[in-house]
Amino acid sequence: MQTKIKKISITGLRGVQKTMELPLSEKSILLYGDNGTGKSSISDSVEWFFNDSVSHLSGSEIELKEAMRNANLNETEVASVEIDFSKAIFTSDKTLAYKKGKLVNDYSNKSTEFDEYIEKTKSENLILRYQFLTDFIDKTKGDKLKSLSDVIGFSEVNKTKDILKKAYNSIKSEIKNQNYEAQINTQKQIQIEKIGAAIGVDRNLFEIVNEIISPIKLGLEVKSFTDIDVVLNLLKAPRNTKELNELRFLESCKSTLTNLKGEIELLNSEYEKYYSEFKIIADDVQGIMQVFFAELLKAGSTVLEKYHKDETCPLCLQPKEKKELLIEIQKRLKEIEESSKKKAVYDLAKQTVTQFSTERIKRLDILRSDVHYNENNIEQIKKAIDNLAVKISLYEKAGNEKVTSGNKLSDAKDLKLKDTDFAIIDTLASKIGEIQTELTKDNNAVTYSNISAAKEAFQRIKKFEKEKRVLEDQRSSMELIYTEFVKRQKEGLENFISTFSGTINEYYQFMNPGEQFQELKIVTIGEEDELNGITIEYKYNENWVSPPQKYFSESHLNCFGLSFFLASVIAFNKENKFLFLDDVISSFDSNHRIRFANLLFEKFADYQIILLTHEIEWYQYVSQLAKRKSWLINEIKWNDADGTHLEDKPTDLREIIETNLAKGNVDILGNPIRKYLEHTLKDICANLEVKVSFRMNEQNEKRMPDELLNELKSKINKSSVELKAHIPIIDRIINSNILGNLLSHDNPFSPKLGDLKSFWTDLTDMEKLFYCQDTACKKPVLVKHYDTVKKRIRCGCDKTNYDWKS
Amino acid sequence: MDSKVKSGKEILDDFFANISEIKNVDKGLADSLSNLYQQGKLSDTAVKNELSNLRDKDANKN
Repeated sequence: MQTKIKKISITGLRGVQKTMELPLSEKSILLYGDNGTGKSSISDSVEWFFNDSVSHLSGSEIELKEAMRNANLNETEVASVEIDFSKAIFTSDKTLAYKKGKLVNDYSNKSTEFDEYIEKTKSENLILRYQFLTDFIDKTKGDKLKSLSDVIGFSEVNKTKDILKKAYNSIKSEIKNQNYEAQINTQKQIQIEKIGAAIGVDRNLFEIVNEIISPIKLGLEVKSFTDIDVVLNLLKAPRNTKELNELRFLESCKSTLTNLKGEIELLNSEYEKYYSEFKIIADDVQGIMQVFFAELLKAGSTVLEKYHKDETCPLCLQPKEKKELLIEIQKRLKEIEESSKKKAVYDLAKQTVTQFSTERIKRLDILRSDVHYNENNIEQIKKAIDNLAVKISLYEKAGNEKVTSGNKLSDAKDLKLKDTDFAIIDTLASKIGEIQTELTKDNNAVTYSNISAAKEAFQRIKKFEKEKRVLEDQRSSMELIYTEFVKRQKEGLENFISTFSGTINEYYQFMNPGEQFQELKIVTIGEEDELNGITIEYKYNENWVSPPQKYFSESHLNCFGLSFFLASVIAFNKENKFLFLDDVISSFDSNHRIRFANLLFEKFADYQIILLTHEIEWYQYVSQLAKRKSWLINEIKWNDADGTHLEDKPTDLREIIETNLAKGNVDILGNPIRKYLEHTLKDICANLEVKVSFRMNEQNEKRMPDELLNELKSKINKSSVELKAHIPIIDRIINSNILGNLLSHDNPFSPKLGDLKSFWTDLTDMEKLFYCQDTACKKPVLVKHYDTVKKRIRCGCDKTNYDWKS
Repeated sequence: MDSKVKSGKEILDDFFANISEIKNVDKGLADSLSNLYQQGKLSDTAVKNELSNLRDKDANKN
């Protein structure tokens, strides 16, 4: 047995400043809320309750816990959402409060059953939001895959795929950056110079060392690196230690610089690539504006969706429909997509230049931190290495230049590393030669130097080979992992599609009866284990057609996305029998809206649906159907004092009024009585078909009580003798100074308690005229129930009836 | 192809539970990714740091 919701109570979360209670009693509910009233506070709180995340609030710039708490709460107040389930063992609240300066969340239900329930619910699709559907409609094939995945609850799968791909790319770029081949070749070169061969195996090195030391007759056979160190110690005479250390340092300088010289072409070409990409973006002012404007547009979109409450442009404050603004932003972002692709190429080139130059400066810094670096006799070498470091740091600096700074990059030909920058290698070689010549006087010293350098080169080669192997192994593992992941993602999607294509098609056809789009199906793009995107195919006039944009309208695509979500509800929701649909029909035309409502009432009648909308016409249409199906109906409002809250229903208002009248709380009674009066009058006038002057759209709803009272009187005068006898009751209300006070916006509400009590008595007396007082009936008197024989109107049970001239 | 229809979470749970069984994949790396996932810490930065730590460990092995 799946669970439904009995009650949701939200305190201090998102737009809700105080407490908003949603008593559902396991029933479906239709909730209307104008833009900016904070409707999504409900779906956000429920999503946070189950998942500890809110999909549309994810992003590095948003701290979720901060974003969840209402901005007006102080640090001592506790924000919470409590959900009472039909399975009482799952009932819990989740609080969000400051503990020792940190925001901490906690469930009140600590049972194992509850933990298991929450874990299982994470696999279910309980909430569909407007953004997911519009994303799905707007995206290109590749991105459509991502947004469709979002619709059916695969968004985490997409995020994980991106993480694995980035990890794989970061290893690839590290391998390129290190340029191990060049580093290993330089060391091999040193080995050839010193011992006449490039050695890859330690046994061969030991053999060569044994051959070299054989004439010296040390009485030792080298079988390990420790043996080599023993040999070196024996060879190292105190008188030439200084020269040997200097020689080691100079040889390190020579090998580092030789290696770097071998990379001139690579470094220069990477800078040229970067320079030209920088120029492409910097020269295209419009392009720059677009690329960086995209960030502003994205931020604007977030502001509009989450924070801006008025129907105005948040920048110029001119009146503008929010929905229209959001559509414009999406359109412009799409146009910017091409420029964004250019920027991605530029970003990669920039990253490569920065990484390359930073790593090379690091290698020069190792030389510059050597104890020999500051010795007087190597001034020229020091100067050359410093100059080289400065030159490479110009590459690094250029790599850090912001394309928006207005600065131009130095021309590639001005920064280019040249062979002449490495002329010092000749000096190093001759200096090394001089020391070696000096050392030839001491045979042991030459032998020492050769063996020592060959050993170091061998160990460096091994180190580079190992690092390279480790990186290559990681690259290979990550590639296998990524490929397998994509395969599983594709399988998951295709399994869902093939198993539920019938259901998807059924829902789609339900919303699009008699149309020529048949056998709708989704097709994944990408050979074998690739998954590059999806596209939609369907039969149109007996021919297979793809992509859908060719004939599909936005409404058709919206239907398709909704069909997918609803099929995923059937597929995945095993624990819960409720779902939240948050403003999902915004891109629908009126025909599709009606069919979508019918689909919900027909195919999802056994589900508890929490349906939120800001579309007034659709709300009015659906509320008629919803009433017949015993759904609850309510409106979401926003004000400074309470933030997001529910409109008080007349039954609640009546209780509030009577309690406060009894307590003598005059000050807070103005608003509830005015609302009660308005609601009651509208209902009576609708039931008696009282006619008022025509007004456009929602203005028609905004009727002042005095207008309705007068028109009601006029109707009664024309239609019913019996009711006419009761007109003094209505007149008492019209003539009451309380009514004037209630309708005046200029004066504060300050009546006497006695006057209020009298007004309330008159109001309830008037109500009794038009609603049956029999406890079994309580229904209104309706013109619809006009008895053509008796010429009377009546309530549901006929105990309350009046003569009526139709 | 596995014919069971899986939710997004089930796809991820299954993948990371069996990641070390992918042929020719380094077990240490697979286990690290799996641990990050189980702890709910799988992110760009966490994976990059973990890969670097694994390389350092390997480099220190003889």
